[in-house]
Amino acid sequence: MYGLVALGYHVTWATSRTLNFSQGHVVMVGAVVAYAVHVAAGWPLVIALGVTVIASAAFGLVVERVAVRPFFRTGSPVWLLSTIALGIIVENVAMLTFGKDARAFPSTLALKPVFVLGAGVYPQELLLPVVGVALMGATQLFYHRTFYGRQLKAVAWDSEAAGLMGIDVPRAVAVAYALSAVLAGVAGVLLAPLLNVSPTMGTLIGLKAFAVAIIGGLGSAAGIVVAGFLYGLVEALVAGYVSTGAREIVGFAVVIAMLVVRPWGLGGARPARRV
Amino acid sequence: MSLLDVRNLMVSHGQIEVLHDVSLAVGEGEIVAVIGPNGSGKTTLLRTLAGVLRPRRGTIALAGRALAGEPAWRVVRHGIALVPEGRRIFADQTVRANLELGAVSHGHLDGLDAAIARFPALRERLDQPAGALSGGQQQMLAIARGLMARPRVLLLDEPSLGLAPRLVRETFEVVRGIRAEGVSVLLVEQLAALALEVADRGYVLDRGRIVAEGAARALAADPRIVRAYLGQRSARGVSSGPECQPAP
Repeated sequence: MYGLVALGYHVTWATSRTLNFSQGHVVMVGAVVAYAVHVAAGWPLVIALGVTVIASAAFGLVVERVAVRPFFRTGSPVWLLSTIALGIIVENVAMLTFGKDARAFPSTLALKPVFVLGAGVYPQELLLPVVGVALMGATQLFYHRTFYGRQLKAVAWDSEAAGLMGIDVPRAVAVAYALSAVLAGVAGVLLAPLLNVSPTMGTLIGLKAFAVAIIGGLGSAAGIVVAGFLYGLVEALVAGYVSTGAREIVGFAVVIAMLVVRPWGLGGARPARRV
Repeated sequence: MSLLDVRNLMVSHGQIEVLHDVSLAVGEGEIVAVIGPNGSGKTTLLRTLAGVLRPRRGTIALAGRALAGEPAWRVVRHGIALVPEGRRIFADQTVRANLELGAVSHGHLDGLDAAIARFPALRERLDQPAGALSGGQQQMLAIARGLMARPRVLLLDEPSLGLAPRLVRETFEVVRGIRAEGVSVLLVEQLAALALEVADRGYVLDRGRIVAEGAARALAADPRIVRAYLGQRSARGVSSGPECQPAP
């Protein structure tokens, strides 16, 4: 379930070598918007999904424009703080408009558990990895098989040379941010029925997704999805056999170990020396 | 009027002024060399013409259209392509993808065959990662990629850098071939004597100012310029063999 959000980190990293640290908040925005349209206003879920996609893409564009672009050209790492700041602002806006309380997001797929190998899971929980893998495949195809995707890769490799080719670099980065936010927003809609919808729901998800992105390798979509599965599995095992308190400890300990042993991640390539 | 017309260009990096009042021109179908010692601002000049850097003052006009201050991705659409120093190829993508990226500015990929015909060494390697090419092949790829943009003026920054003498000669043959097809070339080069052999006209850039200009032969024959700028470098590596005679 973290894989999808983590994939969003990969998308902006792969284009601009920057990250949107409000990625978790985009999950929340996605869930809140879907709640407002589907539950509160009573519109069909398909429309709610559509509105969420548009809203998260717009949020991604705002993040890029306000928190990243001013610092991208100078190569300054200020985007790290400014994207976090924007996330906090959004969280507070949600507090004021949506309210502090968590609200349930009813879904027919999260009513009755089905039993898989003796374990009870909601169909909604099975939907997540399916959508995750599908979106990962789509992202990979986009980056490697389409001309625009290869332009984004060129921007990632050498943004100045990409500009010399005629690639509109600021626009390419904006597209990546929109795409990344859409992934997180969709994850928010999928997660809403499992968790409750609240302004703070995204913070921990964003953090864990970042852990997953590091474990999987920021440069590798496949590595991230695999790491997303493993991370969820380990969390469930630790929570089940040890304690829920130990869950986060183990998770983030793995990240630190990973950074020491294999900083480029499970699926990432050892960084090649540029010739 | 010249095809590329640059007047009173002033460029600074932060507080430091790198180019002071540089004016130059490149005519239709002309090869123009800019020579000068390290740190004189040659690379800054090309990067400014390509739109990577913004000039503080001055004008850049291509066929009468003002381009100073436009971003690089727009400048290349108007017909100025820079082959940057150090090649800057996309090493993680295939040779073919690199060539295709060269055509982003207009989107027509039909120049690929012509590019391969000009650089046969790239043909067998089209689907290999560009990072696997040798230095000479990477330079060829960088030039081919620049030509994919269908420029009217090709800016070449130190094409001989790091190449063996034989490859340097090949590169300069390529420059002549490019001109033969009607593309003007503005060449910045450390190997000044060699650059003047291939060029029609030359400029000497020293500490951010044009200190001499004229027909390439005249510059190469001027004893003051030979002493100050052509001295040791002309002897390094590349002999002026018969294949290096100036174009007739």
